[in-house]
Amino acid sequence: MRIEGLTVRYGGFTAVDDVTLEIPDGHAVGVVGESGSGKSSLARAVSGLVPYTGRIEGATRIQMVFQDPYASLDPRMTIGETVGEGIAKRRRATEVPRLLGLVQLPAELAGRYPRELSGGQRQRVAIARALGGDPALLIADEITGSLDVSVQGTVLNLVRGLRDELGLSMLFISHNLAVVRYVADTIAVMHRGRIVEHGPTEQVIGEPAHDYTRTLLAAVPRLRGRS
Amino acid sequence: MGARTAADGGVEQAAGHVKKGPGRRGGVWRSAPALIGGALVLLMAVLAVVGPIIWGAAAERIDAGAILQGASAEHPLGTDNLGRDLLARVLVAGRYSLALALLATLIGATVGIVLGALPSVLPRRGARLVTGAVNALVAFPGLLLAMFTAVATGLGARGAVLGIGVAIAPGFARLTQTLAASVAGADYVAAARMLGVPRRRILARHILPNIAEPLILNLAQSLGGALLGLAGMSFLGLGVQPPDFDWGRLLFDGFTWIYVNPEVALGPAAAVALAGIGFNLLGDTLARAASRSSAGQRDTARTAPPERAGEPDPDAVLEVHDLTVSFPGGSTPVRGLSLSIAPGEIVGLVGESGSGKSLTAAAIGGLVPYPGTVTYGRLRLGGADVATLSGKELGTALAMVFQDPMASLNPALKVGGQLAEVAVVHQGASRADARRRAVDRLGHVQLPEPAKQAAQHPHELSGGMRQRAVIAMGLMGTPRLIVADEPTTALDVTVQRQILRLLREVVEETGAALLFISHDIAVVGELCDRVVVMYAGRVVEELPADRLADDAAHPYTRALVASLPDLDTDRGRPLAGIPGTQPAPARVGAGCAFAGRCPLATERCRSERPELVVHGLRQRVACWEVTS
Ligand SMILES: Nc1ncnc2c1ncn2[C@@H]1O[C@H](COP(=O)(O)OP(=O)(O)OP(=O)(O)O)[C@@H](O)[C@H]1O
Ligand code: SF4
Ligand SMILES: [Mg+2]
Repeated sequence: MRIEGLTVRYGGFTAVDDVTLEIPDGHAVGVVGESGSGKSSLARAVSGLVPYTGRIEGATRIQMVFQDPYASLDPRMTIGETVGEGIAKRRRATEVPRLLGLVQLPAELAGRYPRELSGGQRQRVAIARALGGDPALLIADEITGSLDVSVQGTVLNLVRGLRDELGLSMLFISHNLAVVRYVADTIAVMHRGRIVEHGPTEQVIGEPAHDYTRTLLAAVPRLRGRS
Repeated sequence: MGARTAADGGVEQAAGHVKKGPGRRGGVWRSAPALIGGALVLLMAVLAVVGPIIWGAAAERIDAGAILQGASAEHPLGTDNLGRDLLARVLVAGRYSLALALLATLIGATVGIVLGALPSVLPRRGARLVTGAVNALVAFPGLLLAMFTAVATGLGARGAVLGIGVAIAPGFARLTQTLAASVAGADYVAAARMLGVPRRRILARHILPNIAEPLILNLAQSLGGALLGLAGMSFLGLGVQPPDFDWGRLLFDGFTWIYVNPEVALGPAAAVALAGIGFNLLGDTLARAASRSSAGQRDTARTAPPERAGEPDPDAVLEVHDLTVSFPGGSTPVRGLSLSIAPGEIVGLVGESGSGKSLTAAAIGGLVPYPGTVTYGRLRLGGADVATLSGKELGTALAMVFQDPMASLNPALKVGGQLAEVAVVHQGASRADARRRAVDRLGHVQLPEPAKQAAQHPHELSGGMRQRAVIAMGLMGTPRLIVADEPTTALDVTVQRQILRLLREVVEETGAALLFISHDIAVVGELCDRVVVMYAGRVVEELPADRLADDAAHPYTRALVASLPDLDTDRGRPLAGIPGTQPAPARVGAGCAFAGRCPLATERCRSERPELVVHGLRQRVACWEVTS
C-alpha cells in the first residue's frame, strides 16, 4: 500500500503536508511525533474519516483502533453487539466468540457492557471489532496512550502476535518511541505535518538523522539507575 | 466517631477553582419545587383517570332553573348558560385537556426528532437544507406558527393539536440536531462507519439511544407548554368546539360573562395554570436530577475520630494517617492509607487505574464526591487539621492541578480574569492588584506574552499552555502543598517534559511540597524524590525514586518496573505485563490484595494481610515474602 502526496487541510490550517509513505504488505510502519504534528489526521485521512487531497493506492479494507477505549465503545451496546457490528448476521454467532478469542478475552464477556470492563479489556474489544472488518491494513492510533503500563505490555504483545498470526499490515501511531519501537518494522517521524525521517526501526533509534528525532528520543522517560 | 459534614468543616472551597454544587442528589427530589411539581402532576393524572367517571353525569346535567348563576354552596364555581355545574365541568375537562396536550407533544416531538435526525442520514446537500429550514422555523414565533397551522387545517381540536405540535417541533429538532451532532463525532460512530454500517443503522443503533435521555426530559417540559398553548388556542376560539370542552373552551365560554360572574372563568384558568406549573416544575426537576447524576458532587460526610493516633509530626506539610474513603454498597477504594510529605519534597503516588490515587487526592482537598464517606485518624495540612481550616485558608495553602485543565478553567471567561478571581476571593485583593498578580503568575509559569494570554479564552490556548495557566492559578495563593493528579497525561512527551520541569522549578522556588499522582512509573521515577506505590487502596511500597529501578522489593512494584518498555528492551521477547486485574474496591478480601496476580503468593498471603513495615533505608514494604 502506498500513500502519495497526502495533504489534509482544516480551513486555512495544513495538518498533514504532502506526506508520502509506503506500507509494504505485512509490515508495521510506526509513526511518531508530538501532539499536533498531524499523526491522527494522517490516520483519519487514510481511514476515510476526513477529506484529503493526494492518493492512497492499494488501500482495501482499512480498520482503525482509537486512542481512548472509554470513548470508542458505545456505552449502550453489549460487547457482543459491538464486536459483531461489521459482520453479517448469520455469521455473528460463530464469529464473535472467535474474535474475542483472538484478543484473548473470554467469550462470556459478549453479554456485558463496556462500563463493566477495565481499560485494557475495552481496548481488546476495540481491536476485536476492527478485526471483524477483516482488515488488510490496521491503523492503531495511540492505542496504549490511556492504559496503565502493566496493561500496556499485554496489549502490545497482543498486537504483535496478531500481526504475525494474521499477516496484517499496520500503521502504528504513538508519541512514545519506546512503544513504537517494540511493534514497528520501520519508523516515520512526523513534525509539523511533514515526515522528516523514515527508516528501519533500529536505524532511526540508533542513528537518528534529524534533530527532531533526537529531541523525541531524549524525551522518552527512563528510570534513573536502570542499568 | 463524631460526624462532621464537609460544609461545617470549612472545606467548601478547597482550591479556588472547584465548581460548586450544593445539595445532594436525593436533595433535588426533596426541594419544594420538585415536591410541588410531583404532587401537581400526580393530581392531574388522577383527575384525568377518575374525573369523567365521577363527575361525568353532573357535568352534562342541564338545569333550566340555574342558568348563569354565581358561586353558591350547590355550585361552588357557578353554572353556565345551560345551568350545568362548572366545577364538575372543570374536573371532567381535565382528561380531554391532558390527552390533547399529550397528543400535541407527541406529534411535535416525533416531527422534531425526525427533522433533527435527518441531517445525520441525508447526503450533505439535503442535510444543509433541513438544517436551514429548522433554523428558520426556530426563529419564527411559536404561537403564530400554531395559529397558522390551525387555521389552515380547519377549526377544532384537530387543528389546535396539529398547530401546537408544529409549534413545538422546531425546538425539538434543534435539540435533536445538537445532541446528534455531538454523538456523531464519537469514536464509536467513526468505527461503525469504517465497518461499513449504513447511516440509517448508525442512527438507530448508536445515535438515538445515546440522546434519548435528554429528549425525554424535554418531553416533560414541553407537555406543560403544550397544555398552556392548547388552552390559549381554545380561548381564541381556534380550538375545541362545542359540545366538546376542554379547559380552554370553558375559559372562552366563561370569559363572556366575566364582568357578571368572575368565578366562572376562575376555575378553568386555575386548572390550566396549576397543570402548566406542575409539568414545568417536574421537567425542571428531572433535568436537574439528570445533570446531577452525571456531574460531580462534593458534599461529603467527613468523620474524624476524636482520638489521635500517635504524635503529629510538626515538620510535615501534609500528614495523612489511616485515611479511608468508602461508598455505599461496600465499596472502599481507599483503605487506611498513611502518607506524610516534608516541605519542598516531591512525592510520587503511582498505581494502576482504580487503585485509589485520585480519591486520595480528593480526600486531601475535601473534594470526594457524594455519597462518599471520608474517615481519618489524622489529616493535617501545614500542622493544622484540615477540618479546622476555613475555605479561604485551605484555598491558599493547597493548590490542585488536574489531568484535564479544562475541568479547572471556565470556558466562558478570560484566563486572566479567572486567575484574578482567586486572589479577589481568597486574599481579598483589589481587582487591579489581582489582575496584575495574575499576569505576573502567568509569566512565572513561562507562558509567553503573559499579558496577551491573560486576555484569551481557555480554548485559544494549547493543551500545554492551559495546564500552565492552571498551575499559575494554584500559585495565586502561597501554597504549602501542590497536589497534581495526572497533570501531564493528556499532553505529549515534549510538552510533558516542560510541565514537569516547571513543577520542579515551582517547588524549588516556593518551597511548597508536591504530591504528584501518575500511573506512569517512569515519569514519577524521573521527577520525584520519593515514590509511594498504591495497590487496591493501600500503600504497598514506599522508597526513594532513584532506587526504583534496582531496589524495588514488592512484587507489584517490580512487575510495574519490568513492564515499562524502554529503548533497550529486547524486541524479540514479549513485553512483561501483569496478568489478571486488580480486585474491585468492593471485592478486596482479607489477605494481600495482590495475591491473585503474584508469582510468589503462598497460602498465608491469601488469608492474612501484610502490614507496611520498614525494609532497609527509607523504604517500607507490605509483603510477606519480602519482609519475613
Ligand atoms: N464516585 C464514586 N462512586 C463510587 N466509586 C467510586 C467513585 N469514584 C471512584 N470510585 C471507585 O474508586 C476506585 C478508585 O478510584 P480512583 O479514581 O481514586 O482511581 P485512580 O487510582 O485515580 O485511577 P486512574 O489511574 O484511573 O485515575 C475505583 O475503583 C472507582 O471505581
Ligand atoms: S504478600 Fe504474598 S501475595 Fe502479596 S505481594 Fe507479597 S508475596 Fe505476593
Ligand atoms: Mg485518577
